[in-house]
Amino acid sequence: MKKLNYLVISGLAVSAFMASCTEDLPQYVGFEPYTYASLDEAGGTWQPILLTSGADTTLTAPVDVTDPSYISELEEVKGYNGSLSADEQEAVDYWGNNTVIRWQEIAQELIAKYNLAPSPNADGSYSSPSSLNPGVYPYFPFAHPPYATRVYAYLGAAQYDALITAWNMKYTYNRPAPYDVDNSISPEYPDNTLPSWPSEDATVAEVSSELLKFLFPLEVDYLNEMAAECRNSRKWAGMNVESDLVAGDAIGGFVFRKYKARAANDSMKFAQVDAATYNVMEAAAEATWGSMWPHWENLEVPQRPVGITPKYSSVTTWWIPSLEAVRPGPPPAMNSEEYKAAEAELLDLTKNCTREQERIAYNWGDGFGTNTPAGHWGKIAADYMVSYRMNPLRTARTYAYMNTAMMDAGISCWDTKYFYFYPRPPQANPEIKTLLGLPNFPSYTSGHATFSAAAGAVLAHIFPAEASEINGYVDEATESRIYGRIHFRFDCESGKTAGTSIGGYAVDRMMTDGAE
Amino acid sequence: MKRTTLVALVCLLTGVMRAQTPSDAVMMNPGEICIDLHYGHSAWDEYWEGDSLRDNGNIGTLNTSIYGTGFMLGLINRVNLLASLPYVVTNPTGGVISGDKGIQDASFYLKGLLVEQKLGKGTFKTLASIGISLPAGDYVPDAPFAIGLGCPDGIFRGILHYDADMGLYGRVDAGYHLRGSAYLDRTYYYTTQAYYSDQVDMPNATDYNVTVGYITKNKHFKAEAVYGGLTTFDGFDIRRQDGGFPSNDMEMSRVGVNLEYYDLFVKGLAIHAGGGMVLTGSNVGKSTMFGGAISYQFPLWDGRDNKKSETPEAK
Repeated sequence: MKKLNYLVISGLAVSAFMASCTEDLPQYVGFEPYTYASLDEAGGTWQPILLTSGADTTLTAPVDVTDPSYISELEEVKGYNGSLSADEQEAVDYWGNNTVIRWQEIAQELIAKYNLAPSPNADGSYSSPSSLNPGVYPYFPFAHPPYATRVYAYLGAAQYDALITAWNMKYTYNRPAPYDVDNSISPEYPDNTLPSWPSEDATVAEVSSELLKFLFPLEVDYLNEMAAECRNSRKWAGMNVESDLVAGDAIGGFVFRKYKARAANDSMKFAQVDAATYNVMEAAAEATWGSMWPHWENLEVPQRPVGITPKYSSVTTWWIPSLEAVRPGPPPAMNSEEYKAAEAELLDLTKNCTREQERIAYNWGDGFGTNTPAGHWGKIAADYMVSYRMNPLRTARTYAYMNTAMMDAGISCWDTKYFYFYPRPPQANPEIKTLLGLPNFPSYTSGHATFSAAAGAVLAHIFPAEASEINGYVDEATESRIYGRIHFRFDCESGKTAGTSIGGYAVDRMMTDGAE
Repeated sequence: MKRTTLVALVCLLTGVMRAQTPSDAVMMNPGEICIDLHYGHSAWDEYWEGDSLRDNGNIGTLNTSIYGTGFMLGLINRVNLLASLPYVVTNPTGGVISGDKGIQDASFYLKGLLVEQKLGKGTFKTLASIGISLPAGDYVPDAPFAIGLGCPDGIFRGILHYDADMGLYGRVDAGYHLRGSAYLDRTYYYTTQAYYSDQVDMPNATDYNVTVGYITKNKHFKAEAVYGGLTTFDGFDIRRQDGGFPSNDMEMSRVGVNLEYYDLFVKGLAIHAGGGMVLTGSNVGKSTMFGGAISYQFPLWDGRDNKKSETPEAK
């Protein structure tokens, strides 16, 4: 039996080893409900992004807490208190007391889901997604970096404007939270003195879900379900009564309509051009720069005839004064020493890339099927915001400025890309092989470097004590495109310089919005 | 433009090329060791995106080469220890993305002969093997042309073998793969939902092989044909125009042939050759494979004291 013992003992050892490796993996940024570092009582007076003020819409005053209708709403909340079902408790734990972060994560997840390029047709052609037929392959939207950055920007800005409006109403009417009205209610999250009418979380759920439904038309059912759960979890948690939520819905709906109107007229619908228009742009670039570099071409097989959003440059910006103000000068001609050095660096990396350089390239890859560079920064920001115990209003402000700065960065970077039409490294020299997939737009400047520097400028302003770490991330993201061999060094460095400057315009606005 | 972690399949097919495997009925006497050098090559120019077979101009043909070494040692009576270590190189012929290369997964198995009895004119054997394979190199499991799955894999296998008379034999084996996690260089990934982690929980898997073979009377030459398959539990399909991912739902069936010649020129020296192809699959490449090995068997210590006459030998 000795042989059997050997086998059994080894089997148990192997099983134990494998079992120790499996656990539930986090599907969102995990945080315990926390006490907010501040309540920002004056937040209702801060300058919104798109609204003229937090008082653009006002609601009818809430009833007093002694009103019979309030008392019956309070009874409903008391009914839940201490007797949640497992599903209700799970929802309370998931949504936590900063739902702004959760809705940004939902946006990230949708972007990752929709961030796939159309597959080639049998005849080698490509079809384009259509907002008129979103459910016909290729599905609408294709959430590439320009689309994604716009989603994050609108979501962050709309959440922020909605919460400024909610704060304005909160501190106008000062309705106490259910647990302050009735001490028998013990809230699931740390209590605070933030007036509970209108509910900040219903406000965020309404504006976020409506905006995301508008941007991801195939996700209506999912988003409705998430919004309902987010909203109901406030009653389950003892944080709000129904009329708090109804008031939040009203603000969220109002702000959504403002942002929807902006989105409908921000020229995004013209960003993706047809082949004829594209060929004119390409010919113009060739005429201007053709003696210094061959114009960029898509290298895929079959070749994609049009790059991603050649006219993203025409989309309405948030903070930069003009495209020309932030457009980098031309990249080096291909017979220059600077170009030759950059090419030699990539040839060397093709042969000798260290494991650490590989790690950096993959960590910041943020390519197809991911939440894109802007989403990567959303996660970095969430970790800081949680550790600094930011309230939802400050959280929304952080996303609003970081994400709008990244959208400006994208608009500017895409302007630069299709202004110069600079070739990607493997087009310039086929000996250069990449670690990462080659994006379908010109090389100069690096989108990731531009996005990252803009995001880093905003985050370093908000979290000055973390500036060196944040700047380290920006540097790493910038270098990552070189290690991945999809960009030349000058693509990345010019992108980073431009991004820092673009982020600075958002920071200028922050310094005068009343929150600092 | 594509991530294509479809080489995973290769890990499961290296056995085709090996001199001895955890899935055959070959056993060594105590003190006997057989060391080998093996080479395998797989190539595919089509792969299954979910259940849909397609080509990809940005990959062309993906060639994968495996250079490995291993040994099988008669540890004690009826129990053998096997180990192997492959170096893998992936090389796509199309597109701009470079292939990958490196040391892949070290594997260790114990194989035991549980039952051996006369049955009719032949001999019936029941064997079992237990093993583990662990990433030995620091490779990236979600790299576009990754060299492996990047996860520990605990493998439990049962083997039923019947040696009929006249040199014919038949064998059925089935294995269960209990897999641990793979770790990525990034902390956010999307499968069918988002994960805020660098850790990927890998689906467990089963595989099986049905083998029929013939060995000459002088035991020098052996030829066998194998039909086999693999399927993961859970896992998810590659979406259209997405790349492969370590935790995809991988399935396939394959056929193969193995040829072996023992005591070539000198006693203990053997050569092995094999080939095969994938017939059906999902989320794997439609590979064709070939490979070969050279092995040398010799006594490492005198195990005769433990030796029982019932212990079978490879040749």
